[in-house]
Amino acid sequence: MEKNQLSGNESMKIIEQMIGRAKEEDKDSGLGWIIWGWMLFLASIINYIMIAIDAPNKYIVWNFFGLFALIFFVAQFIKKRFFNASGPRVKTYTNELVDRMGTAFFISLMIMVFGNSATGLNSSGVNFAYLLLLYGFWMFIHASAFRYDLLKAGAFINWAGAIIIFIFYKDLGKNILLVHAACVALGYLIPGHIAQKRFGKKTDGQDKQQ
Amino acid sequence: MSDFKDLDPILHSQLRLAVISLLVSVKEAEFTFLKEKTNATAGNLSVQLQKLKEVGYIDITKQFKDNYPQTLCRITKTGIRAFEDYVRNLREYLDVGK
Repeated sequence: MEKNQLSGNESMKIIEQMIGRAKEEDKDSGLGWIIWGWMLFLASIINYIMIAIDAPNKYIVWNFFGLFALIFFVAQFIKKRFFNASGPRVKTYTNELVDRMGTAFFISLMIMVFGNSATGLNSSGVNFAYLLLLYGFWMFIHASAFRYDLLKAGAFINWAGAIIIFIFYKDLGKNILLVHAACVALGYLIPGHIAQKRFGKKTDGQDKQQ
Repeated sequence: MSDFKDLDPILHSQLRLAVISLLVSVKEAEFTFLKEKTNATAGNLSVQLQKLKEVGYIDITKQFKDNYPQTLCRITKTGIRAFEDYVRNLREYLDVGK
């Protein structure tokens, strides 16, 4: 790009082209969904097994889950804030907004997890419906921001899961945990792995260009 | 017929316009990102960034990340205003030309 004499149409073309290229950066690596999805999925399955074998402290796995998630979140925050950790080469307004909404989601979720544990609401199973509603809310916004329709479908699956639990919670019993695990797998894990694959291909392409 | 006289000469340059168009769409960007997206040479890009900085259209922050120097660029309010004026004048020019 060395040319200085531009026609009006050329100027307009450059503006459109560059804004389009900047928008390409609004992509999700999917890694967060994968880590979070597996944590939730495993916690659900472990909880289900503990109920099935009638183990003591059946719901303790959620306390560990909450603690581990909290440690992970604080470590990430400290790393970003104080150690100038390597981040993306560009920060978009969408990234920033989604990061902040992620923090709000996490705080809400932690309060729910510890609140459910403290009040004993865990044992009813209905708390999982509320969790699925919260996941769906977050997925829908995230999917809209990054124009990722598969994740949007995940949001609807989670909301459907919540409705199923609300209607059938008495009949479902411990199977509520399987509904929760299935919603997490379909809503987080599948879109997360697909997003990671796409993101990997994209960054490979960029590396080759350099 | 209107001519290019209303168009900001700082922005009416291919590379500077490309940089400002990128920066207006993001919060901040590294030098390497701008270089890759504009397909410019490092030397030329540095010169043009300096010109944009001198007129107050962008801020440039130099720091270290993972022990490597990092140059971060961000558009200023003056830069946003200049870009908006440029686009408005450009549209007027294109409308007159039709």
